[in-house]
Amino acid sequence: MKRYILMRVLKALLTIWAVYTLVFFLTRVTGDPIEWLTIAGASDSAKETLRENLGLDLPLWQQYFKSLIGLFTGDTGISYYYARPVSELFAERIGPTLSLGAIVMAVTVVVGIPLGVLAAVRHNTLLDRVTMSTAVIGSTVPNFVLGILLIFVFALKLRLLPSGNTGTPMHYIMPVIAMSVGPTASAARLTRSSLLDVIGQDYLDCARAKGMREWMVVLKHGLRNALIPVITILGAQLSAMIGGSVVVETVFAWPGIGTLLVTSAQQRDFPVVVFGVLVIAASVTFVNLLVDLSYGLLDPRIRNS
Amino acid sequence: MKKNKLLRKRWPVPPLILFLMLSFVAIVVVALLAPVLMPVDLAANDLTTRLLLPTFKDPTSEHLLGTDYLGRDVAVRLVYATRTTIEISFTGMLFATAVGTALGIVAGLCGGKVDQVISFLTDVRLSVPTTFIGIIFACILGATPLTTVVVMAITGWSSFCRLVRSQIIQLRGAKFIEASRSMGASGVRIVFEHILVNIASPLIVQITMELSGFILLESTLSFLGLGIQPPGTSLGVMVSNGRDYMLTHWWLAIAPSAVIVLLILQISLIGDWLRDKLDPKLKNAS
Repeated sequence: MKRYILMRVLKALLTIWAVYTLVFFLTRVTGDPIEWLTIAGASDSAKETLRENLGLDLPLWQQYFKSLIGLFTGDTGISYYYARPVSELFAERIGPTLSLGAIVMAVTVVVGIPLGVLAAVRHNTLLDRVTMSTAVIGSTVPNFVLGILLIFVFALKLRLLPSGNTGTPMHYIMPVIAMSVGPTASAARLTRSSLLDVIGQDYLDCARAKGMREWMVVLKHGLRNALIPVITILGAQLSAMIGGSVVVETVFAWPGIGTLLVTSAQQRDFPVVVFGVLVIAASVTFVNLLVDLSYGLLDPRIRNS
Repeated sequence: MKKNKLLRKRWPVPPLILFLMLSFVAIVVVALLAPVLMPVDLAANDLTTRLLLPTFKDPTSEHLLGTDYLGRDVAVRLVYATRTTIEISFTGMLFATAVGTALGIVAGLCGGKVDQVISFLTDVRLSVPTTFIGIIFACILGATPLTTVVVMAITGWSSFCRLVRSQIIQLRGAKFIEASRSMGASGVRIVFEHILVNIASPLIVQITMELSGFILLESTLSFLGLGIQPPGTSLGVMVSNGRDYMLTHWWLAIAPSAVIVLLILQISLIGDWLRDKLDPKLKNAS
């Protein structure tokens, strides 16, 4: 088991390193940033000074190792546009993104899984059909369309909620809805189908025969066995959720990492984009690692093998 | 009972799905024929006819959906936007399918080190969310239609690769492949004559399921300003432009949004039906 964990951790680190290296070199092969950072007709000496300030005068491989070592010493490079350390920019904006993400994840689990259980227990009833049709529509409506609809109804027409930016708890309502409908719908669909696979099994009848109450049977014996695929998908959903956060943050002018990365991409601010992708790849890989390792907790057969 | 069976034979496709398919084909055909049906210059604008009301607000209006902030007919632009979105998503899908299938065949047939390298590449791709791959490439290559196609190929291949690989590993030991090999068929011949034919139906299901994702990706990237650039247009660009006029001219953003939702809903429902029909094993898998 220890060996397995060690191998998984090493593989995760290798993945993150590969992403960083790929993105680093891809952003450097497309020409000299100095050309689009200076105005036309800038003097050569001005260009040289800028080049030195940004560390672009070193050979490519030196830049690469310098930035790689910098990641461990806290030197993450300087943004081309803000002329400030990249880590500072991220530190300012990580709060709003993380708080939004945490609430969305909580909504997905607290609303999605119970809805799926309900639909599975009441299989083929009206409740099941209504929940599942809503879930199909919910998972097909793009989050930016949903965000715009919400702004139109609740901010522009009813004037109940602020249309953008952050500050009060009211600011969270619409971004959270726009971001969590898709993942919640997927979680509900998946919990339902995975619980339906389990619900016909003999051991549930056995638990019933023991005289357990029906809801205990479903929750304790059914849901627990249905959770492995659900957790796998929630891990994969995280990636989609982080991607979705970019869009939702843009729609609601949310001062988070997503808006920072979109504007940085439009301005070709490479140090910010490279670092941002690294942070995201690392968090996705890390969560998937936790998901893999959590199988052992949920399934004794995996734990003991 | 017998009557029932006959009826089912006459209607191999449920009416709802048939309707979805026909309406989808109709939308695609009209969108692709846009330059023939309504030839206009997308870059032309007329500020004197800015933000005219649509027919449902003002019955005397000559513009079905009104005009936008540059005085261009919204209905015509909507057809052109749909055309761009469809063209880009279909092209992207073609590349993603080709690359993914090829890598999947290689991984499945070679096994060993090659397989490990390809599965590592899948891990690397999956560790970066699709939208961010779009952001990186828009940043590197600039925001062009070609970039969006490249992004689709790069993000889309992994699911095809995984599918084809697992199918091939199941097929590899099959007797008919062994028989073909023992008669001296070359690897290439086996791939084209036996393997591709046998993995065709799950592949078609996968293509349908992924297509709605590609339409979503194209709209998202153009919405963020990282896809199609003016004067070109796509559904995402129209939503993004219409956003600024929500308070007074809500249909400018809602009409293209509705087309996006409609396309995605059509394709996903057709895809779900195809999956149940062609691949009952996958019925409960997601």
